[in-house]
Amino acid sequence: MACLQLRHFALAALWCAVALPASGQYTSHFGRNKIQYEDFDWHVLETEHFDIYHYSEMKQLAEYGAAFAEEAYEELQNRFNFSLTHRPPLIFYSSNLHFKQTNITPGFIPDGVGGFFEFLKGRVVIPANGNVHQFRRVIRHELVHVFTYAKVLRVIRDHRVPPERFLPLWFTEGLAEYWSGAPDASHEMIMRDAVYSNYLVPLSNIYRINGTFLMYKQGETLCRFLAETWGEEKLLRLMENFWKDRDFRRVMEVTFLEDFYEIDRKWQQWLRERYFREIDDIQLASIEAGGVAAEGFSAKPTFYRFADGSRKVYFVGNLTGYSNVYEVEVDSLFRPLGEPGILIRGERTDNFEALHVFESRMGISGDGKLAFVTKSGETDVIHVYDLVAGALLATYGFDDLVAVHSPAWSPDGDRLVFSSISTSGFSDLFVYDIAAGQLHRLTNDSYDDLDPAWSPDGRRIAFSSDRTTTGKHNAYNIFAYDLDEGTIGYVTFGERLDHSPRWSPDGRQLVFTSAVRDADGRYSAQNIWTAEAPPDASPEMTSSGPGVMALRSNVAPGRASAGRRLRRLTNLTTSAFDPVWTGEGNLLFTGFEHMRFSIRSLPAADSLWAHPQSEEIVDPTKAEEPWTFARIGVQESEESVRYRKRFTLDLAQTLVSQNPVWGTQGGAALAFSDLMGDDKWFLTVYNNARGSSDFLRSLNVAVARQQLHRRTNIAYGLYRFAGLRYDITDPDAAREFPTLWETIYGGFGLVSYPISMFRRIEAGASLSWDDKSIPWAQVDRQALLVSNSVSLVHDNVLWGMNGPIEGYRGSVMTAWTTDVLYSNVSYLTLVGDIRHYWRMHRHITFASRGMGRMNKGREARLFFMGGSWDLRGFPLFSVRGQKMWFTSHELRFPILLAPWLSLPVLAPLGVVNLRGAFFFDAAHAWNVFYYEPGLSDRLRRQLNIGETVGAIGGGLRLNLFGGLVLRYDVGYRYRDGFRERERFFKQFFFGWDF
Amino acid sequence: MHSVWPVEGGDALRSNAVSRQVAPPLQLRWKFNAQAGFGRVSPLVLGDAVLVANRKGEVHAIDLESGKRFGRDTFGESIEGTPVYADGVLVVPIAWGGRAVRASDLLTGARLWRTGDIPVSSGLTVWGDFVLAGDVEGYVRAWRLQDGEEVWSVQPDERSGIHSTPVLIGDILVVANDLGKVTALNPADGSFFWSADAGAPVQVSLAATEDMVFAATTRGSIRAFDVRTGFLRWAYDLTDKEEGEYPAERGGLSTPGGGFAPPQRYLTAPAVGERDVVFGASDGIVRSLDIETGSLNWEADALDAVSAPPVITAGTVYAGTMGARLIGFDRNDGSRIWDTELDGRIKSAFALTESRLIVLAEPRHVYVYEPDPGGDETEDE
Repeated sequence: MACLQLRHFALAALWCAVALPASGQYTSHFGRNKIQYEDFDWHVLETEHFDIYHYSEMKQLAEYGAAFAEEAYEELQNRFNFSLTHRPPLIFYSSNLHFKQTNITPGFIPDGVGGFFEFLKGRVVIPANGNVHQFRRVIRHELVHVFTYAKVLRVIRDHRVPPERFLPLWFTEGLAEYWSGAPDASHEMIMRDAVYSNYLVPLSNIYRINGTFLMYKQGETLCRFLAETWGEEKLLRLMENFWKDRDFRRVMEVTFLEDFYEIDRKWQQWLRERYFREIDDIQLASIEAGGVAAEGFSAKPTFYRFADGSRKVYFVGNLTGYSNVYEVEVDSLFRPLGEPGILIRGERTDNFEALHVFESRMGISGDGKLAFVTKSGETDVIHVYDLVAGALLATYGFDDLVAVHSPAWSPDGDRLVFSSISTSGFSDLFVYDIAAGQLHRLTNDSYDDLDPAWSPDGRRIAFSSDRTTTGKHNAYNIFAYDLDEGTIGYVTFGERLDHSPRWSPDGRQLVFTSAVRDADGRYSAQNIWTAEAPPDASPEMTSSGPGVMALRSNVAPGRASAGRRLRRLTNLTTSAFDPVWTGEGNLLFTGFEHMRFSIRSLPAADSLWAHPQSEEIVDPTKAEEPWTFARIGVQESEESVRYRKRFTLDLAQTLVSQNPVWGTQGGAALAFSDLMGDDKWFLTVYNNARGSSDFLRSLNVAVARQQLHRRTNIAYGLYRFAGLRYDITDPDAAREFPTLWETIYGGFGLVSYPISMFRRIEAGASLSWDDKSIPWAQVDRQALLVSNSVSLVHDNVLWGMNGPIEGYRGSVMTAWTTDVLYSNVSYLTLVGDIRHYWRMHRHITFASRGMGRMNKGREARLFFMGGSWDLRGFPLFSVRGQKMWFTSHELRFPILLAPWLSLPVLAPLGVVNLRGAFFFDAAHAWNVFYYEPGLSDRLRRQLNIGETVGAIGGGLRLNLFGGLVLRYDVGYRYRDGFRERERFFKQFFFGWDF
Repeated sequence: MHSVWPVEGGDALRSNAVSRQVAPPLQLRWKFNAQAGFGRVSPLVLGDAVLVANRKGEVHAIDLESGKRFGRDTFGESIEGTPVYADGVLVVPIAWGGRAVRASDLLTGARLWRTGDIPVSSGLTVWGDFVLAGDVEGYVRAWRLQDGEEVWSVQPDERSGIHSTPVLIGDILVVANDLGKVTALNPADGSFFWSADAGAPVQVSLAATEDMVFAATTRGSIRAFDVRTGFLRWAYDLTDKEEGEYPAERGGLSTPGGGFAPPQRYLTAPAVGERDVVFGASDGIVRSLDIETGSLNWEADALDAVSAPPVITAGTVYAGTMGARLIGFDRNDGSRIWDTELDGRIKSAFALTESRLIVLAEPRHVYVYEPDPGGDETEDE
């Protein structure tokens, strides 16, 4: 839903450019805030084929990225047999938290998004996440999109076929994954699970999972299968044949010379042959390990035993839509004694803005202090929560540290070690001394250091890192940092993915997860392993300055070594994450199974250790010097210059309409923006003249500018509007057909300051000359209008498929509009609107809304209401008054959550869900004169004022294609304070629930 | 009608070579908008007419001197392969839909016949009274030129398409398919002479001398086979230089066993001179090989992928790039002696007249270049 929470400010500015000066129909726009905390100092590094946009703090990472992009270009040029004739802009951010601030897309970017390619200006936007290999892979992935788009566009244009078609998403994303590199461990995890759990979606139905993570992975295997079966060239041929048919299934058939369903069958068989041959000895986590929390998405378990002997498991989870920290009490066998409860509510308050469910572990000190990470403002912060006292003790944030992950306590509980991505974009280890308030950096290089764990004796910190010799092949090993010596030594070694180390209670073992490559090159399942914690890990590395690590081996190369014994304790179907060795012999971990992450407890860890599934001896003495990647330095490129704005066209639209009432009208709208999307210009021109002599008099022009690159967003503009208007808010206009002639010109300014992600203050002002004429009503007035408004908006709601489902949103606004020259106009506006969404059950929400509006004073405009958006049963805009209140209550419940499962024929029609609602609406509008004897009943009825009106009924909500909600309501509408049931109504509309 | 460049490649052997010199620098004589893009087709030059087939299914006839169109025929669907002209009949391969080979009278435009149910994406060949072609389902077929009746058809491999234009060496027709199988057939009845393996798919036109046929693959190798026996005379492999593994991150192609094969290199159809074989590749390098041994004479960086076959003149090799540049290299040492930039990528074959180079380029233009007696050797338009 994030993508639908469009940038409120853009909409507000556009709306105001047209409406604010004229109507005074003030309102506030809800939505969370996308905040530009940083004013990035953009530079451009020009390479042979790309313009690399970066900021100075991440120069080194940008130089890596430049080299990766050129390396990928060389390869993709061969893969596509195609060259780009333009220079794609690559925009790098050094972390996901910076990436979230981009204005290149108006939507919110969730955790885990690796980057995107947008079609409008051909921009590629990529954040780093501390892992240089991943950065390289994402660059490659996005450049596959760039080549694919350019190639297919060329095919379409060459053949002069309409450009309304494009390749299916499974193919474009699958190809981008496939041509990005060998399948990674997450790919194998998902595909194993899909095959074993039997939720693999056939190619013929793959549209059902369009856009999901599963689609990406299935798409990747499909492309691999097609290439291995029919040849790599056929993937390119698919693109070259794309013009032949709108139906991609047909394109596949003529490319592979096979029936589409036969291709599908062969692919599924190919997959099963790959994975079912491993099935003999594997273990299901759900059978081998007890479930501590098996609902929703749960991860990062940790454990605390209280003084009274009770035990609780803590984890980060998303069970209902919001991410929270949960707790669940367990017995001595780690069986849950109840349902998990929420300890920390995430995503609703400024302090706990977002929890990184899959990225950051939590640590508990010996005296019961829970350290966990949330996003709070522009950076992550560490919170310390006293589990015994049930109180938040402190929150720590650090300058220049953007992302913070996995805090772990020292044994004495005085210090915290954690990994962090600084503004440079690299992930390093830090220790924070709480008492002294001092931050110490342990590592400072381009390697990805993760998941630190303090040894029970306090001397060493184990962590996972790609600084290993085999890291060049994207391997991670476990290392130990010796705090006395300041050296780093190998604990494990080899081409493995060793992650998430934790010490055994006695400090003699390290438990961790690992995936290793099988003989056929594919990653195995990610299992739980242990390694003997060597008294002195070797060989050692020393840091000789930022970015430089050297091997300080005290073992001569080639010397015989007994090696180090690693034990694999599990043989799971898919993956285990974040194991914790409790003091009572259990292993807590996150298990992935059936597309779900759950917290599990594996009993008898000692026995598993004594009788492992397998053992492996690794020899760290074979380690060589750490790896490094090539970089394209500024000095090697032609130039690196400061970014300068250049506006290019985003939108050009013209419209000519013929209307028997309004005559011929024509106009054009143009929108321009700079590459970063920070600065936007809008130009609207239209004319509604009814004759050539009217042309200049009826010219309407508006020009507006938005600037979004700072935390405080501003917009301003100039306008001239003139012509015959239909204005239902004008109190002077006729009520049945409220037309008037009006000429307005002036300017406006808007400021929006986000206090946090959930709250903002908005202020606007306009100055305009207004000349209004209603000849037959003998109204002819001029005014120099000044309008000011200020509003406060709060929104933390969680969106479901059809609208908000939890949380609340509210706004209050006041405004003053006055004629400073003649005092013809002078009125005050007050508006309040609050909406609360109570989640009664996972799928049932009770929504309540209350609203009050008032315009009071000379020529105070009318508010309006009616229609499916608010007061149902009454026609659109049919309730009008200078003052009004409105309340609405709605019980929203599911009827069919996924109707296409029972009726697959609905899937191509885009039917996502069918929900129902019972509603109650009531409103009352009135004017200062509604009680006057001269006001006829007919007019009262016409404006629906002076009485409480409302509606009671029920309806259906049908979501199509995940974005379009069709609403059908039936009910009775009422008058006279619900004493008169006026009539039955049926109403159809589309749009979100309020 | 005097044919100057009557078939793809300029002659039956598809040599893409002329013995005369077309000396750089060249200057643009005219440019023609053909209304749609081009496949790998080559323009044909018949007398004063340049015939160009496009991806909208049209064949434009353009006056070589003025660049003005004097005729156009519409065949419905995209034309990817080069048409042929014989005995006043223009025969066009259609890349989609039924009736994949269509003939019309070149002078009157009258439709003569339509035949074939399987689309043809490669160029056509004429042998006596027969029109020969390979279709996208892998059949090689012969139709009678006069009435389009199918005379014979064979399928060298089951369900492996043909996208490579066959070459005719005397009475031997050589075809190559998407599996890399090179097959010599008797054009009279389709009987097999020999077959050989090119090692990788062949999707570009074959070229030949009187005793060797050259097949360039999509995996960076070019092989010379004996025309009579099919024996391998020599092979040149771009990926020989890359030792060790081919990890996926370096473009290695996944194999069923989990390993990685050498990365992809699409080679162009070769141009074959009396002493050299010149070809471009998707790695942006133009290479010249010794025709007898296959050893490298020179290689030159064209900066962008090259997918159009080069042409050889007496002293200059011309290559077009996917970066929209037309480049002239010294035939002896590969040094770049001239280049110019066009409006779009060059991915189609060239044609040469006595002194003019005809180039098809994106988005939809036909360019005709001729020597510029007063120009510098390097220009940027």
